[in-house]
Amino acid sequence: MLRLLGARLAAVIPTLLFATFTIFGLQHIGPADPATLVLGENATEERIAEVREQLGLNDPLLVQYGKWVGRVATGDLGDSIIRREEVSSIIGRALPTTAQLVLAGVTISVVVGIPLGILAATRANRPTDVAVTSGSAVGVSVPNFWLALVLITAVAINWRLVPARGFATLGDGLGEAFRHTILPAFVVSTSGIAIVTRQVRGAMIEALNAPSVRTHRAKGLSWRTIVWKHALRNSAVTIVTVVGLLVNTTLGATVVVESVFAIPGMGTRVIGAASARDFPVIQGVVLTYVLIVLAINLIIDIAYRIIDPRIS
Amino acid sequence: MARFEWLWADTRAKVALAWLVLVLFVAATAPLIAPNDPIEQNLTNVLAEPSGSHLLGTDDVGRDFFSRLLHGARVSLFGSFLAVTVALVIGVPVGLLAGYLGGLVDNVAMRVVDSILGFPAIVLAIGIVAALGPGLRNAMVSIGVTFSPSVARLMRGQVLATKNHLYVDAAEQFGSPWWRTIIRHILPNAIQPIIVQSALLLAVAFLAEAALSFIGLGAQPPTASWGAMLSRSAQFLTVSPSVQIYAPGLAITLTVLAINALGDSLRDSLDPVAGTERRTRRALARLARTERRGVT
Repeated sequence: MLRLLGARLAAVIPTLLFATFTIFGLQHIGPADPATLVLGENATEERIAEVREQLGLNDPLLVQYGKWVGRVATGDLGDSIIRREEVSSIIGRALPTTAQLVLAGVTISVVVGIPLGILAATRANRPTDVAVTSGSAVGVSVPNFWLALVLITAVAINWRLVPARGFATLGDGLGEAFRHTILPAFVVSTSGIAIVTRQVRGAMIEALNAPSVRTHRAKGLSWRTIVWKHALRNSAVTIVTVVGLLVNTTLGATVVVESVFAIPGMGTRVIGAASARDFPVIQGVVLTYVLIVLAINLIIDIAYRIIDPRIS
Repeated sequence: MARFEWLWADTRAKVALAWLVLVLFVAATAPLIAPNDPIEQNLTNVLAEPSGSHLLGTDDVGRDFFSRLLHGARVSLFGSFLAVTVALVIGVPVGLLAGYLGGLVDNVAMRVVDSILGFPAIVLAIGIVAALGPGLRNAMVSIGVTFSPSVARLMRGQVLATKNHLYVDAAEQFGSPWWRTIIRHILPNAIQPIIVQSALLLAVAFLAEAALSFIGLGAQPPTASWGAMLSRSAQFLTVSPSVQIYAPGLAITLTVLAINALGDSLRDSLDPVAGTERRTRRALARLARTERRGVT
């Protein structure tokens, strides 16, 4: 297992190198000089020189990249240009918020999606299945920020069930955190629910058509045991794959949804930074996302081998 | 049960096509059929409720919402087609070359593809827009760039499956140069899944356009795009007529739903084997059900 982990980690390195190079390169692909971009056209010469120095723009590109990676590796992501604050402390504040939202969203996707997928699979091509499948088609087609607006109007403004804006983390008390999390978490989970439902349905239909199911029936197992124990277990690889994919999807969903709910998470930060062209913040946030996704992929990779020993 | 299968398989595609034709028609003729100028302001009549003269009311600076909705179709469609075009222009050649040449080229290309797929697409797109500057064209080029790795990977897989066929060998033996082999013999036989993928990417691009315009990085004022219109309505959530929150969102949802449905139908019709498998599976499922009912 340890050797496996080592091999996987080694395989991640080229990916990480290219990803960091992309992130670093972001501020250099635009048509304008990054320092002028940051300060606007009317900045004074001295101020531009100062910012060029701050951004390290006077070195050759590869040297800049090397220096940047060196700093980043020690956790120093530089200072925000707009907010005059360390990027790492901005991310440190925003990350728990987004993490809570993503965890809640992924949980909802899994808890709702798996039973729906099983339901649809056991009733394949009957009205229930058609309803579930249509529902999941709608789920991937609804723009999540619009769903957020509609739900804020209904649930938060008209019915006053939950707050319309802002956020509370677990540190602010469980009840408060729940009230603030439930609505945005549901919104970011919609496409997740749809994806899980679809994949679980497909995998379960396949598993239920396996010859082993006939044998189980022949030896007198109840249908319920076959579905929930045998077929579900044979669909486990698909389910793990989907959960890995979900983290990526849900992370993406939080970006825009956070801004609708005025949640001070990573998404709101990166949108604000993009409008202000605050590259250190953009780079820090994007890097954090990439590291999360890579870590999840690594965990999924190892989970496969635990679930299905045939994979080597 | 056969009734439902027919309804699901066939009518769905027809309805989807009808809706898309309508949207395309509106996009093409918006300047002719829109009752008002989409960017003409009237500050004496803002946030008006729907009426005879303004079918969907007016927005926060008194522009006719219905006319903006019609013009928005243009912007949103243009944006998503642009994104998919960019994805194809980058992804197809990279996939073709990686698959055909193999070796180092393939290795490097796939490493790059893997790392870009590690980014949540919208976040990378936001980063690229920040560098290029906000605006519909830049936003959709960014989206296209983030889509291109998935196209490249699919294309490469198709090439790998195609290039060992006898006719490719024959062409090479007859002295066909490598680029001619790729364009004349490999591409036509490997392109079908790419067409299906493009349809599905179009749906995602449509959503992405709406999202980026919503957060202000896509279509810029006063251009009407469905996402940008929602952004204005959101700022005046409690005072704008509620139809102005529902209409653009519904338009986006229906269009994306229709593109997805057509993409699925396209996949089924282009891939007779998958269709057969699905039919077989359905028949087996049906059989299993009847058996089950017979036993219990």
